[in-house]
Amino acid sequence: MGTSPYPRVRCLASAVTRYAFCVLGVLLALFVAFPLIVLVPSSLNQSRLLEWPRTGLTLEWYESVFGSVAWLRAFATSTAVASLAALVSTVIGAGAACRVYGWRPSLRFLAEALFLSPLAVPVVSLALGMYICLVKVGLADTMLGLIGAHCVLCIPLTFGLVAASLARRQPFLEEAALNLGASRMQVWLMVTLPSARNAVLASLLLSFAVSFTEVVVVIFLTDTRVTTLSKELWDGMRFEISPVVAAVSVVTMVVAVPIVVLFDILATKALAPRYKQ
Amino acid sequence: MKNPGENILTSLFRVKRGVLLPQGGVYGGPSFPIWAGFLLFVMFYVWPLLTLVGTSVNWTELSGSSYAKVFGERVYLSILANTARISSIVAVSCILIGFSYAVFLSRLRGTIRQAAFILGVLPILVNPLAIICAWRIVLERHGILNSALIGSGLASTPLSLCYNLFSVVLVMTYLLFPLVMLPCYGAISRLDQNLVAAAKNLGAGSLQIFLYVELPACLPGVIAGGLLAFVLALGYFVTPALLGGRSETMISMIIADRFNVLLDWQLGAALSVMLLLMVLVSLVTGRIIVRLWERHHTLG
Repeated sequence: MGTSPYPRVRCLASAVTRYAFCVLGVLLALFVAFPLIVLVPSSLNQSRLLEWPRTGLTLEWYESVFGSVAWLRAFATSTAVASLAALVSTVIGAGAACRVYGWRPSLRFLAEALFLSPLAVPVVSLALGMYICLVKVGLADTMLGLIGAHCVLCIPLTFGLVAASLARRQPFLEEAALNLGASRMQVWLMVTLPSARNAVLASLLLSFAVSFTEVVVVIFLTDTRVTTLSKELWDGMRFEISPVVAAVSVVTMVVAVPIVVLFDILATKALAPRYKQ
Repeated sequence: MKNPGENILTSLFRVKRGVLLPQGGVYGGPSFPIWAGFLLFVMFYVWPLLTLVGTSVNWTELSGSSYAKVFGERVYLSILANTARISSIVAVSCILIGFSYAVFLSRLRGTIRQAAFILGVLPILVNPLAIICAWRIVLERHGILNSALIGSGLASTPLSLCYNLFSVVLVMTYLLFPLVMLPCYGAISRLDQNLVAAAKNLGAGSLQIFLYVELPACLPGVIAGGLLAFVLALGYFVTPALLGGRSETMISMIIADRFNVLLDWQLGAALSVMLLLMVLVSLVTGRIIVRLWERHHTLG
């Protein structure tokens, strides 16, 4: 401040901006966190309607969720679909990302465009097309069809994540391994793949989360035989929301938060610059 | 030899020195994942999209009757316009909130920063139905906000905060703002700190540093993220269906309706193709604007 010609004005201005900034930051954090926090007391509310102020605390709604066969089965189906979709889309996405970088640039561009393009397609359009096709081959309302559909939504993310991580690797390591007499298979297994390890783990978590929380494809492709958590929630929310829906929402959040934290840590590691230039 | 640093082994495997992504040469792993991927995409992606276009013109007859209906009836055109209007409001508010969240994040340090970052990503990784349920509890007629307003004497009767444009825009912004926040945050954290130090040395205040150093660095992220938010908002289905009133009907709801209730697949498919075209047109327009902007700024 000593070098500035107008010390007092500057101090005042910076103090004002700093306070305004703090207030803005707290407001933003509240905006994001408030609705998520509100769910917890609402799911413990004694009243059957989600009214406020609360009447008293009860665990009744959680009991009715964990005691009901329908919710538990929906939870199991969702977990199974999400795990399988995560596994398949990670294997395909990571394998394709490794493989594509050996190709000619024009072919590589085409493959990248194909694997990343589902990100831009509106899910409603895609889901409608999928339903029309899957009905023809008898895969509508089956686990297999749902897993395949979720894979299409997840592969752009896994492919992109692993490709971004591979773009940050240092090719000289692979050259060094080749020079030291490793076979190309060994180079891939012991140099390339370990360098993308964090990205592969992160894309497993990300695709699990995406499949677990996906709603639109589930609404279009499933009917009565396969019911996932999102489907049950959607049916429960169409007209009236009960505390049971709030309780299930809390359960899905409790599942999601550790996944997000772990994903954040892994993705930060995977996409950090690996060596100081 | 063309390149003196190239030895026989590396030239044999065509590993290019200094190129970040070696072309050819190094083994890229087994080939089955990529073929499985192609197969899966043909089955669950290319075929459905082609079928969608085919259904909309009715393969066998090749009639454009469904498109004539879309363009002929005022209802569909006004719903298309409405969808574009709601999506652009959502995109602008996503830019405002996502960008300020990114700036706010960049000023934090350590664990608090990490926690705030995770909080900022949660909306896209938590089940959207859980979030909509939460916002309903906040916004409904007997919800938290209304009882707080009445309790504190700021309002005498409950305000209608839910099932209107306000609630739809608010919740869609909540669900989509991380898409703007992430690229902006990346741009700010990659920003060369020497630039900030130089600006400080030259006597710039924090406001000036923000306006002249950080804001220009973020602009590409802001544009890309805003465009992505707009495009995703165009196809949003769950939020307007659960939180909107009659005047917030969006095209995806009509698609679902024609498909589920009226079983008019041809019209549903035609509307889906229209939605797809809207998305493509906005992506291409956005890309052209970014190109022109970049050219203007590199030459000028």
